[in-house]
Formats: sequence, C-alpha cells, structure tokens
Amino acid sequence: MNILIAYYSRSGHTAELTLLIAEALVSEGHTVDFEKIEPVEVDKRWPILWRTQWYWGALALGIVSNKYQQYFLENYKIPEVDIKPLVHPDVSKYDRICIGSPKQTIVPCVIERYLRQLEGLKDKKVGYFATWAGPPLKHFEVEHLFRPAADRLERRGAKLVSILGLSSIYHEYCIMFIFRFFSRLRFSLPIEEFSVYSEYGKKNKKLFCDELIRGELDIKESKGWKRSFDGPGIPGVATASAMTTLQFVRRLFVRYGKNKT
Amino acid sequence: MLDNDRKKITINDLRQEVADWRKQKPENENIFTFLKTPADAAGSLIFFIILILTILFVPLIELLRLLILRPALTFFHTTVVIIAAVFLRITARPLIRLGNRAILNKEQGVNKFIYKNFPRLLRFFVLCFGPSLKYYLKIDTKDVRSIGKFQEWIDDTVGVEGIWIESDVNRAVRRETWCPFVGREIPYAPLAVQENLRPDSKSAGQGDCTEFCSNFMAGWVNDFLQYCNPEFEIAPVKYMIPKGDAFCEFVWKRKTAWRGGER
Repeated sequence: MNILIAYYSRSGHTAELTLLIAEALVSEGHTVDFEKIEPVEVDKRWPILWRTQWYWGALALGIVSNKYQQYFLENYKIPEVDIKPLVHPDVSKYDRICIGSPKQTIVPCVIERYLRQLEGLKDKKVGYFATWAGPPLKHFEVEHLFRPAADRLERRGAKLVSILGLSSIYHEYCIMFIFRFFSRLRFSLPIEEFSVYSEYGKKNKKLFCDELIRGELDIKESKGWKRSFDGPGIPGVATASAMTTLQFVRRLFVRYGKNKT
Repeated sequence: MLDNDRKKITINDLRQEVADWRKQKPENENIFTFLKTPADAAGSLIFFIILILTILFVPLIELLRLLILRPALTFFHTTVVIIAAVFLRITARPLIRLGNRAILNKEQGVNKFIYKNFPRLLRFFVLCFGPSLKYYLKIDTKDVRSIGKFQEWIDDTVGVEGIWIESDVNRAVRRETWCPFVGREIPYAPLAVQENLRPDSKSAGQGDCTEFCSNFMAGWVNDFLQYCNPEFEIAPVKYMIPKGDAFCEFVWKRKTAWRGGER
C-alpha cells in the first residue's frame, strides 16, 4: 500500500513518533513517502501562545458546560501560518495519508494551512497521530485536536480512520508539573505510562497502524469517539472531580496510614 | 517549483534526523532556567495577566450571553411570534373568505385590493414578524428546507395539513394535502375556472392556479424567502386543490439565474 506520512515537528518528538510509525509500516511491506511540513518562519514560544490566548477563557467555560464546549469546537476558527512549498502537494496517488503533529492547544496553525493547501484529498482515508504533553485526556487532548481535524478532513471529502495521541513528556512553557498531576489524578498513573516507548504507546501504535491500513473505521462516527464527545455536563464533571479527588486522598491516606502502623 | 532546500525525504533521512535530535534532546525547564531570559520573564508575566483576565472575563461574558441575553431574546421573540400567531389565526380565514367572495362577486375595487394592497399588507407582516420568526424557528438562511419552516408554521396556525416530499439544501417541495378553505363556506373550486378575472394577469391563461391563493400564499412565503435569502425563490405553483388536483405543491428552490454567489 502506498502511504504518505506528512509530519510537522517543533521540538522533535513528533518526528521520533513518525519514524516509529514509518518503521512499523515499512516492516509490514508498505511503501512510505514523507512530507516534512515546515513553517516559513519558525516562531519562538510566545507568539504561538499569543495566537491562541483568546481560546483560554472559552476553555475554562468548556470545563463546566459541555454544550458550550461542543458549540465552541464546531465554530471556532484556527489561525494559519505560511508554510514552505510542499514536496507532495497532490496526494491523489496515495492509498493512505498519515498526518502527524504536536498539539498546540488546538490543531497547530501549520497543519491548518497544510490541510487547506493539500489537493486530492477526496475519498482518502487519513490517520492522524500527535504528541502532546499530558496524558490522553478525552476532554482536553483528544477532543480538542482530533475533532477539528476530523471536521476539516470531512469538509475536504476525506475520512479520518485512525488516531493516536501519546505523551512526549515535554512542554515548552515549564508547566509539565500540571500534566503530571492530572495524570495521577485522572488515571492514577505516572505520565511515563503514556509516553511513546511505554506499553500503552506500543500497543496503541500498533492499533493505529492496523486501523489505518484496514481503513474501515470512521472515527467521527465510531461509538468510542462519540462517547468522548458526549461529556457528562456540570453534575457529571462535579461528581467525577469529587470522586477522583477522594480517590486520590484515599490513596494517600492508605499509603501513609500503612506506614504509620 | 520547489525551493532548493526542499527535497524528498527518505526513511534513512528521517532516521538521521531523529538520531541527531536525540543527541541534543530538549529537556523540560524548571522555573529558574525558564525565567532566565528577559523575553521569557516578560512573556510569562504578560501571559499570566492575559490568562487571568480571559479566564475571569470571557466566561463571564459568555455566561451573561447564555444566561441573560439569550433567554431575554427568546422571551421577546416568542412573545412576538405568539402575537403573530394569534393575529394570523384571527384574521387569515376571514380575509381569505372576504377576498374570495369579492373575486367571485366581482366587487368594485377587488383588483386593487388583491393585487396591490393585500401584498403590501403581507409584506408589512413579514417586516414586523420576520426577524422574530427567523429567531423562533431557528432558521438557517443557507438551507431552503430550514426556511421552509415558515410555511409549516403558517400551516399549523391556519389549519392546513401538508408534508415535505423533498428536503434538500437547495430544493424543497411541500405538498398541502388538506385545506380548511376548500369545500367549506367559500366555494373555492369555482375560482379555478375564473382565472381570467384579471385579464392583464400573467398567470391568466398560462395554466396557473387560483389568483387569490397564488397571491396570498406563494407571494407571502416568497416575501419571507426574499427576506431570509434572496438566492432562493418559490417556483410558480402548478398543482392546487381548487384546480382539481389532489394537493397544492410549493417548490422552494435556488434561483436558476442567480449570478451573485455560488450556484
């Protein structure tokens, strides 16, 4: 099968994941071509954040109102930046297309421009893999990256058939401790359990490649995906937060209580 | 043409790139190394202020919009629509009956009323109640079927029964299967043979339907359609119950000669 892997990597972690996926695909006997997406001007860390600063308030509201979250995800516009000319601007000759990027709060501006520029996407089956700092939280990570990507691909006539999101355990803005905390809080696991080389990462990487080649799944329509869309709303969030906090406190209590006795 | 530095990447190139990257892999910074440069310190401060402001105020504005503005608008528009419905319910039937009686009896001034004043009245109705109906019915102006909810609303209010047989974005067809005016006090059916009541009418002699209903219903609906999106129109009514057909058919479609936007 003829596959194009287009990737945009800012800190290098996505390129690493790209290599792992490419090696897995090549070992299965597929032909792989690469497209390195590069912005014309590589921004420093603050302009990237500046472009999405308006988003943070909406993010805060999205925590308490699932309905607003859905409205926002359907309607927001992603800014774009200029990218260098593409080596493969027409992808009609490929059987599968694979896009890789980091998650920069939402879909990166570079990928937004790439998806707009790309030709020959009609009726193509696409896989999207990403690296981000945190654990695979449905609300913040999965939904905020893959749902807009699925929408944009659908508008171009393509179908998202496979997704993969792994933790790079790296953040440019010195806030890695927040993700470590949420990983413990939500999954009761250290963030290393969701990295590229973890068991979780290896298993999901294989699953990603299999789903990509099979091409039968429609991520947007799949049951698991929809479940990630339909959040629990305010009572659900409140209950879940209380339960996870209690669970965390109980765990601490049990651990240190045993030591005392 | 590609840039000189853009060349096809092979898997070996990627291996080399990743191997080079691993030698100088970026590490997470702690707060002391992070704030070492003035740019990062200033950026952190500005971002922190913006973050606090947006987290405080954007949700507040959105909540105000959701909790106060939207309910207020909904209340206002719903009230207006209820007034419109009551107005329509009270006035529509007598007006239609009066109009038909006038046509039948060839009363003096009927032409002026039917062809000039009555469309003006309907246009005034759309002007007054159009925005509220648009809000209340949650009309998407790019979808002709969505605009067609207006006809559903009129039918529900007046007592006409009908179904949509086509529901496309660019074309929708509604068939009215039961009309309260047919076979009632007003002998509506004879109007079908009196199409030449107004000799200068374009519809006279072209096989179109009853003058009054064409002017009343199609004209009114078309006014609303033009208000919502002038790219659409109502096709000339071909099938009508008074003419002997089993249903009235209204075809909502995109204008065929439209040149101002997408086809």
